[in-house]
Amino acid sequence: MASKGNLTLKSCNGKEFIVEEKVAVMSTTIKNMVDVDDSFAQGVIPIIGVDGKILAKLIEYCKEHAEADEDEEVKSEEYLKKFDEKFVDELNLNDLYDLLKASNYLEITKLLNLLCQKVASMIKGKKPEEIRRIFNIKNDFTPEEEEEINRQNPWAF
Amino acid sequence: MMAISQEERWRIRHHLPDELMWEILTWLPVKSLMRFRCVSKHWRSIIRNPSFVNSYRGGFKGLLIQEPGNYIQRFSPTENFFYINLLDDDGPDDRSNKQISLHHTLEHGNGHSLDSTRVVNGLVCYYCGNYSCLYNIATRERIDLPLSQYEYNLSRYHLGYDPINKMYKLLKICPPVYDSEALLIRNFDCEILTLGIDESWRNIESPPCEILKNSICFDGVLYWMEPENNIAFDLAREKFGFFTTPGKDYIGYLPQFGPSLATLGGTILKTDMNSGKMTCFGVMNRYDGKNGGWQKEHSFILQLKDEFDDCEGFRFPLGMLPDGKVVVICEGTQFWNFQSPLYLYDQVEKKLTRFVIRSSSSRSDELIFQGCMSSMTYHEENIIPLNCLTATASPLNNS
Repeated sequence: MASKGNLTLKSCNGKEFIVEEKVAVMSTTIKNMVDVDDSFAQGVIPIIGVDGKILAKLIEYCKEHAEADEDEEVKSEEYLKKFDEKFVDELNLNDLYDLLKASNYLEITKLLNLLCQKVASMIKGKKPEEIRRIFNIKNDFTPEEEEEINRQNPWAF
Repeated sequence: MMAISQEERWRIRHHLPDELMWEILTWLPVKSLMRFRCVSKHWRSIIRNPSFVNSYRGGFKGLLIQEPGNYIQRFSPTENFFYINLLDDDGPDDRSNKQISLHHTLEHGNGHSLDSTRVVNGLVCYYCGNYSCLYNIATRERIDLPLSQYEYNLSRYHLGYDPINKMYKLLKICPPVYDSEALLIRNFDCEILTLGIDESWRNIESPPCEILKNSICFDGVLYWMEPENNIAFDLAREKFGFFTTPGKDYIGYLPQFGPSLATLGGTILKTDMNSGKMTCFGVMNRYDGKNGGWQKEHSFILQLKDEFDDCEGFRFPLGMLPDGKVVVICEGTQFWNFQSPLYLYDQVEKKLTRFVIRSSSSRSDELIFQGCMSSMTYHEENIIPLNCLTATASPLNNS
């Protein structure tokens, strides 16, 4: 059991992490759980659908940012920017996907924005057919309709 | 076993929930979004969804300079807009080498040269006589607006946004009309069009005096500083009024700088000059038609003396950015054809940074910035589809 000020988070594959409350409540979902039901603060908070590897990543991110929020001197904006860059650069596509879903579910807005920007920067230069392939999207336009849209914005292609 | 690429594995394993896809799309540049409209019907509907448009944040943020093409020979009429990127997205280097991209081309209809309003929320109106069109700088979409009633060539149009009712309005002020005996027949006939609501122009009360300048739109009010009068137009109430300015007015003193009233999106600045050196700004908030007048939020002094040897002329603030930084232009050595360096003044750090506008990568010469003809606005790209700003188009027919 976690000591006072700490929370225990449990991944879907049974890994437990003891983290400071200020780190855990970077997640709005966890914050709401703790605020509403005091028993969560004493017991173990199950993080549904997030495995140990991804949860560790989430905690790593939240720890840096929670500490920076507390003490700007030690962790400046510039430091955080560098940390964020490194954080997303080191992710492989699977982790990126899992983290996206987890940060969305746990409502860690800052991280969600960071990851979404990363995906946006990965796809921004792609052609529409590449986008369909990557995201498994069916083209439901007739060739004429597609032509018409392309005609409206020739500069974008 | 055949190796599959990472991308392939991603595709097989994952299907992104709609809300995440939406989030990701809000970070894309305009060009990608316009291209991705043909990915699927669903994507197209996301991209033109009003709440997506409102939450969009992937666009350019920075300054925009508007040069009326028909006045400046140096630039062809199609090269009206220049971007200066003020974001430090390619490293915290100095701003002097920031490249700006030539942004758009607009074909003028029927060989007429069109005048333009100032850019408001990324939208601009081009006009001539009773013809006007609305143009979105980011998406390059253009729609014709209904013809107005009076076809005077010297009419001036003013675009404004009323943030309370979330409406764009286009104001048209006609020149006075005299008969052969030089008697006044009509006095500044005034028409207005609420974009997306009105199918035709409405007549409203005339302005109290002649308005020649381009308006400045700030917080639901259009402002003009004319030689004799300071005029305001409340966009929600559709009423003209006068406003007074704090300090000394020096209208006409430096014509090349235009009005001493400026906004770049942060707030409206009223500049006072003293002994040829700029000494302070008064800052005002919203003009209140009922209570009238300015509320000075704060004033500050610019320390500009001899910091930059190459610039001995007047320093003149063009406006304040939303982050509180002030854009300052300096008069160069020649009176009419000067190359004006621009400066960014940080009020907190009390620091002045010089930056140079370059016209595009293919043209490395510095932009000759003719203050009298140009206007500069703070600009955030807006991806609003124009069909929601026209009352005549049926939404069903629009793809």
